[in-house]
Amino acid sequence: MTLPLSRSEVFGELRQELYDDEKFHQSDVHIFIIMGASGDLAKKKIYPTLWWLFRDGLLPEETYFVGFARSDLTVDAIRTACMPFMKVTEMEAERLSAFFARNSYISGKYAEDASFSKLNAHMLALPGGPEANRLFYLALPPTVYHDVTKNIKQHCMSTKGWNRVIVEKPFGHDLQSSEELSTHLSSLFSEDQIYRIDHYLGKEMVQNLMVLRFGNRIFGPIWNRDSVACVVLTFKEPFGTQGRGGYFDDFGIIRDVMQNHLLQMLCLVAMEKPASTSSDDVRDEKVKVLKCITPVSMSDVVLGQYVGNPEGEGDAKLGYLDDPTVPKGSTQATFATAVLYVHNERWDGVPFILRCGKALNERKAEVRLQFTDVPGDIFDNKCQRNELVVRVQPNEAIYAKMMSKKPGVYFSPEETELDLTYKSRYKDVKLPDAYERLILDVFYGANVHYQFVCDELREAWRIFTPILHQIDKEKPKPIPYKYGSRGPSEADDLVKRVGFRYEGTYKWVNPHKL
Amino acid sequence: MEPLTRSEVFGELRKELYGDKQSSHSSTHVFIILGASGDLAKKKIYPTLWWLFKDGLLPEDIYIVGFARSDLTVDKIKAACLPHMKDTDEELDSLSAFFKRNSYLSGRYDVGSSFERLNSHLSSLPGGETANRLFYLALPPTVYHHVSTNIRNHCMSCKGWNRVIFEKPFGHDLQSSQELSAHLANLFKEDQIYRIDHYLGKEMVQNLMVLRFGNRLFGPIWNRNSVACVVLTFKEPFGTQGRGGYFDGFGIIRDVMQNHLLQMLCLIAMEKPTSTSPDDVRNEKVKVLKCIAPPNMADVVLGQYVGDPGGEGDANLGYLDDPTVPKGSCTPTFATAVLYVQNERWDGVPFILRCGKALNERKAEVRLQFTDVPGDIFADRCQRNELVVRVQPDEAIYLKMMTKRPGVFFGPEETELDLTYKSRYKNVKLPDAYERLILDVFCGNQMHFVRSDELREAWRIFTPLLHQIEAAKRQPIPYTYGSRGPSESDDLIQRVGFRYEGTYKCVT
Repeated sequence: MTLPLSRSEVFGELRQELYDDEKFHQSDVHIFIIMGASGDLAKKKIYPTLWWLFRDGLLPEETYFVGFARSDLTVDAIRTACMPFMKVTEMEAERLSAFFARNSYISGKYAEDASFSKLNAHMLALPGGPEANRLFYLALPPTVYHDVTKNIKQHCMSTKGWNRVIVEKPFGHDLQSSEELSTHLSSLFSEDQIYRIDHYLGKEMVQNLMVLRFGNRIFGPIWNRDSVACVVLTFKEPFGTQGRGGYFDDFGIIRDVMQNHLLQMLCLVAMEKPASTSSDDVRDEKVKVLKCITPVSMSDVVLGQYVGNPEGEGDAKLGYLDDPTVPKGSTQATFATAVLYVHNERWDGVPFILRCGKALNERKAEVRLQFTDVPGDIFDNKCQRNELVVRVQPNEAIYAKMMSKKPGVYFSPEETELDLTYKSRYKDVKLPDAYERLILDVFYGANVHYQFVCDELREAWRIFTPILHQIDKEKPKPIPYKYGSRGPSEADDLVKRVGFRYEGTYKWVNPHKL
Repeated sequence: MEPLTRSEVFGELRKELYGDKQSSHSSTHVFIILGASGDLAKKKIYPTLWWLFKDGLLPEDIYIVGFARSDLTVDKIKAACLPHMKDTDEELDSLSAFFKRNSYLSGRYDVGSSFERLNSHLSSLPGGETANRLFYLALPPTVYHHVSTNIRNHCMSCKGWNRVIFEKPFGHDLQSSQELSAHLANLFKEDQIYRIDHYLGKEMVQNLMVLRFGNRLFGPIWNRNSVACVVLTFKEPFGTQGRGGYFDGFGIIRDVMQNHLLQMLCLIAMEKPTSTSPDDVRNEKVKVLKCIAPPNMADVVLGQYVGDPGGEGDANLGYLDDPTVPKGSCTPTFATAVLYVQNERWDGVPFILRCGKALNERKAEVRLQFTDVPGDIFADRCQRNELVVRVQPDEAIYLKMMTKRPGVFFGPEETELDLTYKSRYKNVKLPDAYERLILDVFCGNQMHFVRSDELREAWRIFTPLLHQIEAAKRQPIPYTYGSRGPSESDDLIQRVGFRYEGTYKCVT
């Protein structure tokens, strides 16, 4: 696979992959409705993503894009707002025009029936409108979900084509609110019409976890409590809330990252092999493994909140509480480490360590399995534990940290790695953005792995709600940590206490010149 | 990482090999090269000693004495060796110092008085009487009996230790090998005898033990439940190059398979030893050899290369075109054989040994192919995992495995987790196998040398086949110079269970 495929080749291959023999009705008309077209997510992610997919010929030819929001906008105004994020080259100018020629915009109120009737009329008026398939992307704050979904159902559903509704997190803020939202949605739509997005599931390496685990014989016998000492799932951002702390403050890091992204990755690492790769079979296994996780307890959690670094530059000088939109004296956590246990035959006793935080020392998301010590050591205790690391971002890679003979005249072991760095190995491959995959997935209804059903969601909330309520009620003071540091040392203590061994002797060496 | 100074390296090595024991590096050492005028001496032994000397890895007080029938001088030896010594201008002083410590004696291998003279010479060197003595037999096996007897009778150091280094071939079948071993056992103790299989000095071969026993990842999969087959390969891209006459007396099985490949097999298949001490390791090797029955003729393919009409230079010539090779010789220059280790860990797993001259590439590697993934959910698109240790050229370890096809796709494709030494260890000098091995002899470490019982087992396994081939004068299958060898070999390995998809190309 060295030559990049042409557009139609990729499209053809994808179609084949997702449909096998089923005919894909690419001649059907599709309408993609962006609810909240004036917002941040729309201009930074949704519109650019649709443009990239359109440009690469990955969308059905007859696709129209309709924006809807309260603001009084035009397509040109939207175009202007999106351009900084669209990465358009000169050669693509014509195609870009074609893209925007398919765009239109309607303004209206989220709680108003008339607005949605207007929207519906507009869609019917588009070429092929009455038969069109319709995708509704809710790029909206959760406060308006109820109204918008009700109105979509009452006024905007396609009668001939299919209808799909895409919702982003947060899905409620605890078990009860999440169940309420789920109930509301299921009263309006069938489960196969609802697409709850966790965009982490669109990331290359997260999608790779299934193939790694279930496509390789060598991992079969060691993927269990006999060989795995602990699993560490990490998500680190090197920046703070950047003036949007007010919004973050309602949620906190556990709801923002841990209860969804990290827990989803945990599912992929811990689940049993599904009966097939169909989305239902995969989801069944994810729900099954979630059911074996008891709610996390406070003693297995460390919470932190970043403070400014006096020696830092720019943003780094500011702590979370220095953000003017954050309420004074907020005890909201911007960092959390929690230990979960999967009480089943495969994993009983193995700590699954989830660590996430803002304003840390690096940008990193990874999955790390640390294996147990070699029994019956003959190398004088010089062997460190093996680790299998899947780096989700940045710089996608997989590597196995292991022992090798120290090269040269010596005979003793030292650490090294078997490495697969995507930038080197797959130089010419374009790795699509997570949103590209996920939107594509919704179009083809293959619903492979980017969204989850209500019982996954319910289990995820069940695991975290008790501790979230406890935190909301008791308002424990989070441990302060400096902007740009590794986080509070209490987190390292916790991680060591439950069994992760950190020798500090190893430094990953990228063997390739990037 | 800064390179260590000479004394640091030596110090570390000493520590590694001796622990806290005081080494005897302060005593005088004399290294005697018997056959100093020959090919091996000038191409390998002298240069190796020079490299070790230059890097300060030899004891301070070292003398080198050459012995052969020819009437030579140190200067003549120097001239003969220089093309192989890779010395640089900065090293001229060091080189002089090296040759100052060299001397040469001529004599006859079968004459006692020659060795008495040698002994007087050795004793006359400074510290010579109490010196430790290493005797390197860089000689054709026809003179082993005489030389070893004479060394024993006339040249042993009474105060220091004595070690005798032999090169293969060690006999040509079980009986002759046992005779030689018995003869040597009469003269020397086992801890004085160092049989070289230079493959045991190679970086990646030495690494096999660390890989297997230092990594938890490999523990549960290193057995018949997960391993479908093991392939040990040795390929040379050139023929006998005018030395076929010598080769013809041995053939490829004796030349490569019964020693190099079988040694690598031991390291792959053996149980974990109680410690890394040489005898504990060699005990495990002998133990695993004992579980191997002689291979069946039906599990063996023999080949002999013929010239490639489209080839250039040597490639035009077949084995039988070599003027030194007897007309109509049936000696194989290529062989594939399947061995089975009948123990709990490996019962039923084919160990495929493949070697040959005049093939398409230079390569020596160990490849474990793992079984298919049970309960496949990827529509049969997964290929088998493989762990490959490339011994030469271009030392590397890689794990061929399945990953999601990168990009918008979801299906699996082959890739590898890779460790290529040239990239990862850019500044590390990987010593030549002979450097390591000779150093081991100085340090008294026999781990990478073949013990007599190991040797006996290796011959036990191959002797019936060799006798059968010779008695039947079995015709080897012809294959073109520069090709992959006879296709019957591929048929054999596929029949016993190796799966070759041809879809994968290692990208490093």
